[in-house]
Amino acid sequence: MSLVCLCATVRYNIKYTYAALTIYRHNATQNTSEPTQTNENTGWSKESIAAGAQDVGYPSITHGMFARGGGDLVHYFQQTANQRLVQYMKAKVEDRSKNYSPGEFVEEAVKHRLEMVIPYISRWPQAIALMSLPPNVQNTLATQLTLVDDICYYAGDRSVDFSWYARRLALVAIYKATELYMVQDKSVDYLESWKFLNNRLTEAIQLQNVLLPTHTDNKFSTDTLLSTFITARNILGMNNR
Amino acid sequence: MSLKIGTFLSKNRIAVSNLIKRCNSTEQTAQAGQTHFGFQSVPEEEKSEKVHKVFEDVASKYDIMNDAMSMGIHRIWKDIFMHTLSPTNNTKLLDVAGGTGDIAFRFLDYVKNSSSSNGCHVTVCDINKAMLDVGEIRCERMNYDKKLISWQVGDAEKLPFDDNSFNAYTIAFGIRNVTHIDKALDEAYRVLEPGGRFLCLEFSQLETNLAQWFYDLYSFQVIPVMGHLIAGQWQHYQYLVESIRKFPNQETFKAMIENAGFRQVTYENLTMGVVSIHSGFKL
Repeated sequence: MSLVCLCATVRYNIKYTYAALTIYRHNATQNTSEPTQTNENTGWSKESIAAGAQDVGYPSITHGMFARGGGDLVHYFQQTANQRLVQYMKAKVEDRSKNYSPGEFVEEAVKHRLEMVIPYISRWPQAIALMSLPPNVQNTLATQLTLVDDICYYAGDRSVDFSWYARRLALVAIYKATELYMVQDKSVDYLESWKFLNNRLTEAIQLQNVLLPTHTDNKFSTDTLLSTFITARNILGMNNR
Repeated sequence: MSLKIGTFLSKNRIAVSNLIKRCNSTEQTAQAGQTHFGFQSVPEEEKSEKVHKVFEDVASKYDIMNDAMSMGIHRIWKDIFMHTLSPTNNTKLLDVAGGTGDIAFRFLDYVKNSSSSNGCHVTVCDINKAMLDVGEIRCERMNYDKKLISWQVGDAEKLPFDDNSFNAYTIAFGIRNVTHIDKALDEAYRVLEPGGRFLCLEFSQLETNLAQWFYDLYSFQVIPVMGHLIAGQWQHYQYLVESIRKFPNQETFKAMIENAGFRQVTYENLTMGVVSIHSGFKL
């Protein structure tokens, strides 16, 4: 097993190797199989990374490879979850047996993505806190923007005008609001959260219908939104591609 | 008055630049089998003897001199260094050139204050018995658990330990005094088990020229004087500051660590690059 690790690390010289994968598996199994012992679960922390390293046969001190500790772990989870979501959406687009409206598609995708968090729900507030710590903010925003961008793309948004930005920003807001709702949601199967998500999306679609036909009159708000988005992308270095 | 200061400064600048020139010229004339001892060129076999002599003489005043020279900042550097390592369960640390125990005691303190650090142990290895003696006396005085720490005389280029016997290797302000740095790195790689971490705290080169100019002034004009006043040793402290100038810069040293086989090699500058922490993993 450690040979796999060795090859991966030496050949690609990347941080997020097999070790990290096992680390977050470690996190998940502890959470789901023994929900009563969540206090003993070390959560998104240096200790979890150390435990994960030991699982793959490395000494615990290897945790030092992830300089930001828990922040790196959350980032890794977010990235892999986003990749899984892309696979899921691709399959949905290719499957022509069912036709979704863009709104339904977005709702479905956001729901699917948020469901990936459920195994870690007891520790998710910690993850949200870590994501908003200054050293981690850059990674967080970048993964979040990639996420909403992917969703909008697969939902069929090919717009090249101002609505491109508006949709993505609105979706970030909806996603984050639902996520926050979800960590406090005690309802069965998180039904309340999905209802909340549905309401927010409906509102957004209504708002868009009101705003868009007259958007030439709203030059000011258009410009503000546009520049906000561009600035955000510049700060994140995403325009260098 | 200001004129006087001006002349004083420019005189010193000349002195410093002369020293640097001397350093460069020795570099060019250094022959095979020769190495540097400060700015002097000496036969390789003589260097370790000379270094040994330096530390034997300064051992008793070593800690007080560190405080005086760095104005106490070395304590913060070492704290940051230990924080970078952040030992967890079953950390087997080898602290090379750790004579007076500064790093080892910080390790033990960290372990004591941390909830997840069972089964940790530190081995202090130093080529110089005089330095180790100081460390052992301090250990006694500060009541550290003797089961968690052991002392061993040994050469960084030929460590008296088996392969894969540690999972962390630290060397703080030591590697600069080793005759063959590459051999010391190879040895570090050998004694570490896969996944083990190499961590080195060492003087380095400053990020800006102005800071470097001030730093040179301080090192060459103030430190030997301090050494003379506090420890009664001018020459030895002259050697210390000279050896800092001869040590490879951050990027070169990083490449050397990579050559020894370490992966994920990174470095972090502290205090504008007066010292830097290099980190690497054996994978």
